[in-house]
Amino acid sequence: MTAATPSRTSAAGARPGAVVATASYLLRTQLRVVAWALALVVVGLAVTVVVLERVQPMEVSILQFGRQGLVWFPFSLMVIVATAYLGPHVAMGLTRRSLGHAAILVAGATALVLGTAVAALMVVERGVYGALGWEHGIDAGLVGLSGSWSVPLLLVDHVLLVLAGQVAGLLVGAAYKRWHWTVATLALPVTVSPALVASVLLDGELGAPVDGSAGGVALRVTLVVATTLVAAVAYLAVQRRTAVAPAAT
Amino acid sequence: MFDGRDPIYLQIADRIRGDVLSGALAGEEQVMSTTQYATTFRINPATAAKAFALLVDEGVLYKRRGIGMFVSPDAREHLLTARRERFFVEVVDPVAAEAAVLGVPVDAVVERLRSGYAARATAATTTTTAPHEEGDPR
Amino acid sequence: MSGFSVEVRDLTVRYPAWRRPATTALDGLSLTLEPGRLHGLLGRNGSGKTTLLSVLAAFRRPTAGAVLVDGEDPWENARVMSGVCLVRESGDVQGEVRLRDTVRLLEQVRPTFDRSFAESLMDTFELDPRATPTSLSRGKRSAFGVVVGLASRAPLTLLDEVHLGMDAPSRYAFYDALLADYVEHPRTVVLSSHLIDEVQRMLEHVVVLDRGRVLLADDADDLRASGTSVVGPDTAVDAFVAGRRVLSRRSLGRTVQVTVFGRLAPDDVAAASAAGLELGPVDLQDLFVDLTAKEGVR
Repeated sequence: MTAATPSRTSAAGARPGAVVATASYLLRTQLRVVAWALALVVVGLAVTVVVLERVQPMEVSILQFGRQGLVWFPFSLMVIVATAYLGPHVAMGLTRRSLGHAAILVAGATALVLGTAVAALMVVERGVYGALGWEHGIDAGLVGLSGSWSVPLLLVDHVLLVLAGQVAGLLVGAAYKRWHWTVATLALPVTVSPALVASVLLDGELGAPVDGSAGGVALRVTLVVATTLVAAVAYLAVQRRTAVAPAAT
Repeated sequence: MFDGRDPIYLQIADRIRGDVLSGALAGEEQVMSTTQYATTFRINPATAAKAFALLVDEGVLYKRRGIGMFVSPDAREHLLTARRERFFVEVVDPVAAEAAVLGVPVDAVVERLRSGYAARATAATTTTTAPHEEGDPR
Repeated sequence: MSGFSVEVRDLTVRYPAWRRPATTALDGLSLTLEPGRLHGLLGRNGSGKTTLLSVLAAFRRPTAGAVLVDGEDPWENARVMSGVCLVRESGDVQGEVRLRDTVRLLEQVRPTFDRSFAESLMDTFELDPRATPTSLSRGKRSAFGVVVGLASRAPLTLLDEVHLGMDAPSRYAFYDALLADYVEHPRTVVLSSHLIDEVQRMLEHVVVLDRGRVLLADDADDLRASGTSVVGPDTAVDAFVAGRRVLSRRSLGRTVQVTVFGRLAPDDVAAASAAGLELGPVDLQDLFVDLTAKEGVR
């Protein structure tokens, strides 16, 4: 057991400057990638609509099929942050705690930005469909579940999807960084669960009977938020004691 | 460069003393700074500083605040005097002993000394206040 | 403040059991490094140098023992960690990020980082600021490591074999830059290197590690003076070195060269020349090889 004397000052831990600088750096990098991806989605959507306009009218939203991407793309971005960025971060003289806090902040900010952007896109999609005289049918997500178009519901749905994916990415990455890959792989069902829980619960696809009432929706949202929160705490705990090994040359 | 057995700072001090004696470093001339020594010879600056401290103690160097290390005006004389005191014991006596062991006649030794001295004296500096040391030990 | 002090007491680091083989990298190591000096850290491969430096930089935790950097445990200690910079051969900067962007980030997060110094160093080592580490050769990556290590101006700067892959001119440029900046901005520097010949005169204090422990720690000058090479006829040499700590013995016919450890008194020196023996210096490199030699393969 370590018998090191406890620090005499209150300096142990994270300095606000370090957290802010790290978070803004990571956020800038991540949003750049996200912006590119979104641009591609918008272009793809526009092309599809234009093509379909000549072929046959659509009846359902196209965007709704991108839900998995909305979970797993941000997930993969955060796995990288939790794995590849930890070494350089500590090497710059910063604490793991400051990275943990910054990563959570970035997850939240990205979820807000990306979730809102996609929700907004869906509103635009609805407008375009309406202009073309198409039906904007939605089966997926909370809107599909509750059976009624609601922008607030759309927002909550998409923001939570991204957030759950990001936090799961952090937790999975942290596990692989801290433990042997066999252990981290065995732990995968647990570490990846926030993303799975979110993609299942925020949707109407799995299991019947489906409770689309307001209470049912609220319950699902609460469960997703709770799982994500627990995962965030777990991430902070796991990454706090990770050793930084020499990079393989 | 500085490969001998002695600690490096002693070797540096020896070098500087040698330069002062031979005239390569004149009185009131500035010596390279510790930084310059360190970066020129790739040695630790503290080592150079140690050498300087030693030479300051001996009176060979002195420090001008904010400018650097300078050779004391009377450094050469001091060194010459010290060397001269040791000259007979450390240099001449062993020669005599060796000559005796090898059976070399003293006159041959003296002759050699004379010609060697003459050749050097013309090249030496002009501060010849040395007492005459005509070497006829007999 | 001109550098952090380092104090290590009974430090043990064991790599966990699932690592095959489970190793004890550091075995009850104790050490003190005075602040503001240039320390050399020497040791064979596997002696624990990198592990020791990793613990000082809070890259990993000790299994047991105490580590104090500037009087405090460095682990997750924001104040201390921001004053410690460990540069390893490479790989501690983001591989896909342009050098100039890494420099900009460092400027924001490291309080002592000097960006203009970093830029002039990149010039010296001919590093393209728009390049990424992964696109660079090994030597250039190491050079960037040097840039980061020096420009960080950390009160405790740990340079772990940073020269690997660098050609001789680059290495000498590194030594020159290190010395010049160390004089201008004094700090505690620990230089771990296999190229003892090249660095020995720059070191003030030397620590030799062997199998996870400190074999010896001494003033560089004193250590250099501790080795003597004795050459002569075998009987005379053996008589002279009897009772002394002999590090190595090499013979060519009846002539023998022995390295002894321990200072020789003036009487000994006289006795040696009287016996017709030749005494010579042993440089740090040879001394190190002899001190850490093992019988058989390591």
